[in-house]
Amino acid sequence: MRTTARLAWLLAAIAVGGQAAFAPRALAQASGGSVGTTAQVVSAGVLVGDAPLAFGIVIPGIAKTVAATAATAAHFAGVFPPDSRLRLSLTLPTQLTSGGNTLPVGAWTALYSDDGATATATSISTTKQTIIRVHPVTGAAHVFVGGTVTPGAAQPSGIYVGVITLTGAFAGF
Amino acid sequence: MLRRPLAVVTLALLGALWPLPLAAQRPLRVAGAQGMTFGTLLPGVSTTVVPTDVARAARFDLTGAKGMRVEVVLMLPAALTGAGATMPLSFTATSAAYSQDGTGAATTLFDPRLPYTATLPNNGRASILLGATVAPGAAQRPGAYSNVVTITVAGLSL
Repeated sequence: MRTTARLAWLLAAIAVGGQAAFAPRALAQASGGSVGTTAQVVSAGVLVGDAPLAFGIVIPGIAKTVAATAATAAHFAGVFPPDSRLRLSLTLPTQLTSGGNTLPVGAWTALYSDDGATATATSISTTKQTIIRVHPVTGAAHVFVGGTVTPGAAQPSGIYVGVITLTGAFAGF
Repeated sequence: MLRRPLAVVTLALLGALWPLPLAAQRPLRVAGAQGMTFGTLLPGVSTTVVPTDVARAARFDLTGAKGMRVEVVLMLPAALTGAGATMPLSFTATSAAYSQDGTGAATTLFDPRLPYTATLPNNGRASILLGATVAPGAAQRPGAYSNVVTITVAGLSL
């Protein structure tokens, strides 16, 4: 009798515990966070360089090329009167410098796009002036520049820098 | 003699049925890992950042118990502010993504304007990626603009 009663109690406990385990339980957890959102608006009629040409790590004795279509190509952008013409000219360095050391750079390539897409961009001269037509609706103009560095076998290590200058002049409609 | 085997079996069953105490589960956490960056904008030219653009999209990282169902709610600004002006910011039904590896691949797109429910994977980690479209006016005042996106993540019933 005692054994039977105790067994019944244990079975009841299992049943209750089972129901509690399978019934949904609300978890009182919550967490929060925030991040910023940023943008920089440039003036109309001004060409702005907003991305440098970045070669990254360069190994002595091994030339490295960054195409004008690459994500690390230099980028300039501006907004002008829609469908107007712009005369573009590039001033490009022949070497990058790091203190007293120099790193040859050349084989420049440049692309122009009126919508910022390199896939539909057209090549422009890196040695002569080029007249382009800005976007017919937005007036946007984008220029991408790539190049090749040629480090010597004994190229001293360091961070080498140079300046690319893009000049744009209004050339009518 | 007969009681001992019964007691052992009983205890084993209770152990299998009893849920893991809340204190033993990994706590639910969310952290802002990366802000949304539109970069340089041209007056009159709208720019869109898609949630799978891992370089520019905002990212929040979630950690919690494996298999935990969570509800995500985002508080989205209607504009960026700065330079004494505002710039409209908008979101669509595919402006956000739920990612189990934070890389932008293998994502599930969702509407960040609505609460979103997901289940954390076995490693208890996931990310929320967020994009948007900003629309500077033709006479948009030049300068830096910004705002804040806030996320709240709540654990739901298992």
